[in-house]
Amino acid sequence: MARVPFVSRDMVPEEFRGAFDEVTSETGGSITNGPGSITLNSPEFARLRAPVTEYLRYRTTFPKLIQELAILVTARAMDCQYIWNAHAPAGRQAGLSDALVDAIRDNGALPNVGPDESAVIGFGREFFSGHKVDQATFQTALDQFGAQHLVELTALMGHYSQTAFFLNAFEVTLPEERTEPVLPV
Amino acid sequence: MARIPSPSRDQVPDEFKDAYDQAVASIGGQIGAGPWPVVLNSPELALRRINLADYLRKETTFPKKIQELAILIAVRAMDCQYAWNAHAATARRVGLDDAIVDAIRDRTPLPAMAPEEEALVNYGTEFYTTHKVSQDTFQKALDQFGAQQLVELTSLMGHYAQTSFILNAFEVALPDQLTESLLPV
Repeated sequence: MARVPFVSRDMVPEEFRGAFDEVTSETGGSITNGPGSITLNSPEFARLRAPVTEYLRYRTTFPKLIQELAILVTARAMDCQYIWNAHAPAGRQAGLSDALVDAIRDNGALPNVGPDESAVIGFGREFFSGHKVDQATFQTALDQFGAQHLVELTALMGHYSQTAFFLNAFEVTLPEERTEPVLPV
Repeated sequence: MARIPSPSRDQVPDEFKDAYDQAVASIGGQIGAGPWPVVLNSPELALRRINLADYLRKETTFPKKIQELAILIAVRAMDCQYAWNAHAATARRVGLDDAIVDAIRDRTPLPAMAPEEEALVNYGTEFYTTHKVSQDTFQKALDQFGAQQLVELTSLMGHYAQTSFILNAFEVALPDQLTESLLPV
């Protein structure tokens, strides 16, 4: 459920039905949860956003643990319960320590973490809290990841902050079965 | 200039040369300034993102004035001087009142606005300030724009917030000749 109804094929203008069919081809002709249920209101936009998501999630070559950490830093910064609930378990599964996930959730002091983890957390937190990144933090992140991966991690965090905007503004409801505590907001 | 150079074609790994060529062609054959020289460090991401940006910028059907207003709200929220400098000028050119542009820049009380301008400003500002949108503000925006366009405007703001992250974190330098006053930060 959300603040707007789910999109069914008959609601979609003729000109966008091709895009609608393409976007929903793997989910049986509809999308009834998550950000896709919202973006489908603009089928052509959804169709063009999918390759960006796919690249950032599945084609990038930095470790999965770093990817999930970047997503969690973003979800926490944007107070997005939906993303947090989906990705905190994925982060734990990918090998982030429980202590780290819990500290991000609670904005608590971070435990000892690896240099790559610490670099992505510093980079993301500085941007989201101050909208800039100081030279030392930037350089540490660049040294850890190199230009290509740092651009991709920046884009990933920006992408998920856009997703957070959809999910929060349109109030996409959390799944009923949850394994994670909600973000303290 | 920025904190990292844009790769020349011969620096791009072979597997990404096609994506690089297509991306450069899509932005008019010249790498130019702004976020693309940075994003081209990940050529495949750049290509996919350009296709998405083109839809949001060129294929959406809300008025140009509303599009530029959405961009200004996002880049003001993210303190992005580069995008502000580029888009404040465009917004004025497409007919957004100087008093509105200046008030967004300076975070001073907004002048009287048309209902669709007011709906959009409240929607974007609420999200970026509190990470949620009240029911009243959401409903006004939905009444003004309908679900498809509201999704697209949300995406556009999210997209420019992502662009701001890239521009600010990688410190893309402003052009020498500025026509706009800087954002007070």
